[in-house]
Amino acid sequence: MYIRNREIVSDTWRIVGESGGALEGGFVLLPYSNWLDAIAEAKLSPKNIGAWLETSFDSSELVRLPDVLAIQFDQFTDGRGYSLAKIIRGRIGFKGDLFAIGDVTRDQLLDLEKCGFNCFVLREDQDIHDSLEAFEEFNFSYRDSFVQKGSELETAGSKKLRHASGH
Amino acid sequence: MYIYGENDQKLIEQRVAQFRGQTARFLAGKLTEDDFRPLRLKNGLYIQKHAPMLRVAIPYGLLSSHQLRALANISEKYDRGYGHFTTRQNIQFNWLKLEQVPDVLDDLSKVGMHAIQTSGNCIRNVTTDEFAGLAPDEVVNPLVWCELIRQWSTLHPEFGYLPRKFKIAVSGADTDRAAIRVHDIGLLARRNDIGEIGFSVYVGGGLGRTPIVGQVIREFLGWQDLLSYLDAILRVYNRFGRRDNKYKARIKILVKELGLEKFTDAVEAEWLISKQQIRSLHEADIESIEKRFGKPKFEVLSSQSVANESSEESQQFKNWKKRNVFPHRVNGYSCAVISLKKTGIAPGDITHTQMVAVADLADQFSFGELRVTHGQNLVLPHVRTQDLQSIYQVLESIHLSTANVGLLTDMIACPGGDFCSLANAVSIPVANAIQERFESLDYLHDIGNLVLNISGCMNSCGHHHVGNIGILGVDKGGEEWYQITIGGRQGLDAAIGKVIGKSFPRDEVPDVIEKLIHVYIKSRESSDENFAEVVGRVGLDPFKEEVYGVH
Ligand code: SF4
Repeated sequence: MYIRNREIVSDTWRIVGESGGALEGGFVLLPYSNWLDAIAEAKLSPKNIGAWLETSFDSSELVRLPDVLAIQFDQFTDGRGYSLAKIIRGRIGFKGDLFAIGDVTRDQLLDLEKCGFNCFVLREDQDIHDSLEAFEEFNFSYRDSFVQKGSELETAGSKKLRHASGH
Repeated sequence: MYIYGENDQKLIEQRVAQFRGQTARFLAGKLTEDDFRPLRLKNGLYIQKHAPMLRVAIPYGLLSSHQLRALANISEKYDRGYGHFTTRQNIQFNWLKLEQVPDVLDDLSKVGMHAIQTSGNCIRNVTTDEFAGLAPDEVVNPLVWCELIRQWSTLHPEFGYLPRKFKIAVSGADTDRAAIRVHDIGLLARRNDIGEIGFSVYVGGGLGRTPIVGQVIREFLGWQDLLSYLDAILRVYNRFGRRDNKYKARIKILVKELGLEKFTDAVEAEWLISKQQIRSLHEADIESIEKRFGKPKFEVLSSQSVANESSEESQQFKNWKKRNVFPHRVNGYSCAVISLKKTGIAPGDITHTQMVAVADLADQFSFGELRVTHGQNLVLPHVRTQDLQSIYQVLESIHLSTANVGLLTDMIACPGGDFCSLANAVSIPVANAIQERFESLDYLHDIGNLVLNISGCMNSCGHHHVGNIGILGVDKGGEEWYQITIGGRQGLDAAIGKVIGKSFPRDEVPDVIEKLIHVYIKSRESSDENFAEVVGRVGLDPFKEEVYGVH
């Protein structure tokens, strides 16, 4: 189960580490370099196979874009993942699903979303149903009033808010 | 005063609700200490030696009488009847109970106050000149820009988990009273040749273990681009700042390791992106903030009423006027500083009854407005000069009439070993011992302006590096010793003080300070030559000889 656009989805994405793992069966997220290899060998449909990046990933090395990208947080306090997401949305213009995976807890969801993530695989101990409340904790953000309209950073959430507040 | 609008208010109320939920989950064991720590720090809550400490934000040091009364009430209701003003123009409560903190925050929100981002690895409370908007030497009023930065940085989604804390200061006057060059970002608001407002951007200043003076990365940034440019600097820092060693994690180390040029290039490249994400500012943005500040309704007074020297003035009042009263840009008005540096009281401490009395003074004489200075004092910013004597009388009756602003006894001291678990040594008792030594006012006045700063450890919360005399607590085999630096100064020509030699046990510190002062008085060419200038001219040797003897 994971959260996609503020809703719970019951599919699972299997996260394969650097050391590899089976690719078949359902949806799989591979380390970016493994993904490049897998795509080159046309092992799986691109629909079922995405790539994950470390928070320290150098965005200039994104030579080819998967349909689905993920950023792996070893610690939720690693702010690099937030900036990387903005770069991927903003500079690279990635339009697909962007996952936050790893040490992801409810208390980060709203910020992560504002940075461009729209999918969240929560840390195991988190209650996914309760976590949805986190998106409703604030219905005003100064930030949204400074965001360039039409930029990729207009998330589902901020658009909704803008409509609600009549801006 | 910036008066909150509906959205400002809603935001802080929702933040209280969010934190209440987080605290409840922690107390119910659903949130581990490791998960809770970064969350509570972002909301100003430390767990200290004795009890949780809550640091309440006073954005850019502006405080209303209404808010000060609420702080008084909180200190009485939840704490031990006093509060402590900090060098970041905030106030701290040292004796709260964790379960009560959400209620304290709730009380604060009712007067438009909060503890958002007063600690943790995020963008901290923006600070500015305590005389903003009233100083005769002001070029650009920094308050509107501070408020804009406050809004931009409040709950900034991308920069909530930086490598380390991040401090921004803004100044808009000829004299820098905001210490912008010892901040992660210092902004000097100015006007170009055709009168347009912009900012000189200084980056990478800071104290702590590796004190560094900030350098300019952009001479003139047009005001319209302020936020996208700040975003760009922060993003470069967030991505590349070191996270492996907390002592090397401030932006100053990144700037140092990359070199100014490379760092600037990285910011400029990032700016091209951030400009597409953050819109440029419009006149309307600025006007709507300006409107919320309002303007005090000054009376038209002749400057004559200013120089109304009456023979009935006591010497104490004259001293106080000389030290604590500063010029105001409006005729017939003055700016009165209330010193919180009375001998025997911890610097920056104020009781709840004093808070209430000061709030009353602000209502009666200063349009209900107050300021907190980074020197841990309070200011009645807009008082009629003819009212000074009445104000002084009230201050005298509440023991807040100490006439020492800018003098040696007006020292900055961090909470130190009495409260802070990181301390090597106590600060407050040292400050008090020095104050006692120099209490004779006349002698103090002869010395003139002198900045003496004390920190209890290398984290430098007491800004000892930029004190003309700096005192740093060090640990020597479990004992409290003190290292002394001289020649530091703040301002646009900021300099880091130099260590004079081996450190001293606590009871010797007042003697050492007296000897240093003695050399200064002996060596200065006139009373206008300040301590740092004398150190610059004669060097450390005469001071060392006096303190350590000739070897
Ligand atoms: S300088 Fe050190 S002792 Fe003083 S408040 Fe800061 S951390 Fe604590």
